[in-house]
Amino acid sequence: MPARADILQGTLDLMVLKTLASLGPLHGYGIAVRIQQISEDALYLNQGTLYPALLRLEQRGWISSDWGTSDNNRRARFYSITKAGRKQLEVETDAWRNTVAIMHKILET
Amino acid sequence: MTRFLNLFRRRRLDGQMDEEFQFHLDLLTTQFINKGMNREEAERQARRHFGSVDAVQEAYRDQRGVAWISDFLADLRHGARLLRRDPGFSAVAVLTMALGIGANSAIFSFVNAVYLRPAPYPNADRLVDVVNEVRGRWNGPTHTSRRYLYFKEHAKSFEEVAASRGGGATTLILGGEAFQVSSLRVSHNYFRALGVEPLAGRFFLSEEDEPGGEKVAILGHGLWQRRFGGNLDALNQTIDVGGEAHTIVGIARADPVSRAGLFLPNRARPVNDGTNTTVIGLLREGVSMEQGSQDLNQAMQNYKREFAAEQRREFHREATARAAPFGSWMRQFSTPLGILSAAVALILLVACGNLANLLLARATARVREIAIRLSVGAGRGRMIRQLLAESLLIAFLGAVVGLLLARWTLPALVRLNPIPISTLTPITIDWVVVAFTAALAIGTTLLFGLFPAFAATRLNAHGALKETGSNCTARGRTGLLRKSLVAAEVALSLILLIGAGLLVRTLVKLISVHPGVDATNVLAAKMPMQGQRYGTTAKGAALFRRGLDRLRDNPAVEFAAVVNNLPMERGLNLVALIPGSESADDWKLIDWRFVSADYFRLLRIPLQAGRLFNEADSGNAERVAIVNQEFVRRYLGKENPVGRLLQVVSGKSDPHRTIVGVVGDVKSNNFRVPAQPTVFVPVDQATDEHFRIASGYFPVCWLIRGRDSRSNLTTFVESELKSLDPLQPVSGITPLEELRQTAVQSDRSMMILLSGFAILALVLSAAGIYGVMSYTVAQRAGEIGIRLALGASIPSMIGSVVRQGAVVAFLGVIAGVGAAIGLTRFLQAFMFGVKPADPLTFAVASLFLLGVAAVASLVPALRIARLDPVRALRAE
Repeated sequence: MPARADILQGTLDLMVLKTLASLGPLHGYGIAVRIQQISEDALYLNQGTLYPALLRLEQRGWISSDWGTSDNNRRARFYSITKAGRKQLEVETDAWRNTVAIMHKILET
Repeated sequence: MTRFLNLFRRRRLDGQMDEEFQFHLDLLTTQFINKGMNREEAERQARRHFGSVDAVQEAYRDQRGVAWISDFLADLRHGARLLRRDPGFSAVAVLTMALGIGANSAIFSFVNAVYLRPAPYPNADRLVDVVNEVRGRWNGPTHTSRRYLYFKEHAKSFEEVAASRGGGATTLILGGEAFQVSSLRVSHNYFRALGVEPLAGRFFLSEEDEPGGEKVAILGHGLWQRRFGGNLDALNQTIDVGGEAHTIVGIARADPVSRAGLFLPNRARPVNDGTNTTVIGLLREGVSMEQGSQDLNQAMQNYKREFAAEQRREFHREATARAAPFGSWMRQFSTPLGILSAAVALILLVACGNLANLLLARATARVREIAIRLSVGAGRGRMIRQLLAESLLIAFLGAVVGLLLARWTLPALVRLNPIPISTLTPITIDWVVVAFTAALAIGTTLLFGLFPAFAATRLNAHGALKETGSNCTARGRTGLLRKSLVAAEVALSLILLIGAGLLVRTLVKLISVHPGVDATNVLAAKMPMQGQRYGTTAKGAALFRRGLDRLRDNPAVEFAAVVNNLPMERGLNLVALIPGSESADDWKLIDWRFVSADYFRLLRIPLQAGRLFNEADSGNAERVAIVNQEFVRRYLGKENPVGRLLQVVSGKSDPHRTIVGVVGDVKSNNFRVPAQPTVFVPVDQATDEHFRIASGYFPVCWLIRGRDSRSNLTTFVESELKSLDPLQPVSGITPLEELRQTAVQSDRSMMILLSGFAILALVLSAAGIYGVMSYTVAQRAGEIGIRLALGASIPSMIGSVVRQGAVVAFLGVIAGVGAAIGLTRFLQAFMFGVKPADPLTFAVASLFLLGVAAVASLVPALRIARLDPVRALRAE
């Protein structure tokens, strides 16, 4: 069994934004499941920590939330990405690629 | 803002949070059950995957509320760092705001004292003024004694209906020495209505308030301190008030509103003694102001029916009464306060314009820093918040300094006394003023900070990073913005300048109004004659005759005369009849004066017809009167006045008098209104009743004309009058010329204040123009360098910069003139002899402002002369 990496500080935001950007409105559980799926369970996510992050993103205006009805007919809060969020996703993606490229160069030499 | 509100919506938000978490846990549990676990095991696994619910809840709550505060504190710290880094900028910014905010705090202290502060009495919430109105027009809370007693008896929704009546200047004799003290006549329940207790002793008993009651007095706090050294032995002492022995039964506490030295019983009788009684009411517990008003008006209407026969003499046909919050008579100050508030608001706008400009300049300088921060992921909202935090810091520092400035200048403003309220209520900086100032700081932050913050963060991050800091794409746009701001400042300053100019012209006109008397070389002295010692005309006239003889013995004295009250202040308001005329039965309102024979010659009041008084017009000669031109114009029309009969009416009627002369008009102390119809009677012929009423309200005024300006008669007059009767105090021996000045006192104060504000605005906007032109010169240094290198002359380049400044100022002037035309009519109440759109004032103010603008742009332009073209080009 491969070692599970802890989530790097600050990257959770990026993952949430990306998830919402590609899948549309999701509730918290949906986001957690999706992140875990994509990472093929390589990431260890304390799913509860997702919520403060969601709140933070909402406060910055990058995502918005609404109460709606889930597949199993229960009231649930659905999150979706905003226009500002999409822009932020672009900026952060660029920044992330830069970081990776730099790290890559440093580690290659 | 929502996060701030979240602090208060905790319970609801917690419920939502719990619901959301439970939903998540349930789904996880289901997921594990589907994998084949039993429910118990699945729930355990779900909790493990979710993490500690408590910890997550805590983190969630932190994020919900406190993050906002910590962000804000970080922003403030960042702002403080920036301010410290550039102390020059910070000092200018803070000082600008301090001037703008300080002026507002100072004027607001007046507004607060008049309108916002509850009356400083325990019963203030139930106290009302019983106001008299005609068709909704305010006539003040004053009534006749008879009407006061009627309200007292019939207005049932009041626990107390109480009265006070200005007792004027009274003579108090203490240990053989005579003093002049101000007295207030109050009903026995007056203090009870206010809710105050005596400091020592007691207040008046109801039987002492009856006509013919015991002679008692209550010492005012100030008089007790000054004359009795604050000693409680004063109680039960007997003092001589107006020639009669009074027992001191009580000592009042220091009263912030009334400064009366002595309180005497009001002793109202059910007669029409003129609307001189101020009536207040204390509503019963739980009774509304509306109910009280209805009650009062019902009483008023019944009263009008009951005394319909005397309608013309006492009340208007359509008079109504109502209850108004206690102290509302101060509303007469609303116009001057409104004007002053508007003036300081304009100053604040100019200050905000300046600050917005400074911040815009700084944002341009910091364009790279902002661009970098934006590109590394700082949100625009976050950046704006950060810039605003810095502005907020400036505004609050400015507010603190401004409050200090207001505190230092307030005593001077109160002394200047643009509106005569400081004697009625203390004007101080209290918590309401501090709160107002804080609100102003927040408001101005948004006004001057939001705009530059938006402009600064609107920049295209990529573009700004690619270009050099001094040459960014946003320059053109913010340059235009800055110039518009300056033009607006110029316009605002011009409005103030024109307003001040109109008041200056008003004052010049007022001073040049001919008052109808020649006041040069005339001294005036006041002597209160209230009380029993000179209770009849004969006693008074004898004193006057002795005094006038003594004064005339001095060869340096040309004339000496007496009159009730000063010539330019109001006389006694009485009513007259003109028997045998068309309107014989009409009551005619007059200004009544008793005068000694030389009065008219002394003041050089011209005789228009008939004759003046002389020594033959004695107590047992034929009754005569002299009227002024205004009396003839208003009441006699074209008829020949000399020889006509006249009857002055009061409680008891005057005998018929023959009009023997007509004299020129004398202006009252309000030069704006025409002279009042006046009736003069020889002092020996005044009825005892009229003499007593006049003495009750006004001191007698002694007038002395010197033969030339060199003779200084002050000491002579003082010693003669004092030795005349050592128990009669003499006060205020003043050149009449000076008293004329006090007639325009409030006009002068208003003019000085508005001029001061206009200068402040002018300095601020000149600083604004200077700032923008300095910036322009710095920006154009490269371009100017090239032009100079290509052979342009230095003067022509300087000219082009100055022209740029002048164009901005000119646009501002046009806007300012337009606005001023619309606004100056609000000043009309203060203007005299000048039209609100006075072309001369407008032209001079505009030219003056343009001149200031030219100088303000010339100074930075002169820097071109020192410009080294090579260096400037290299910098580019």
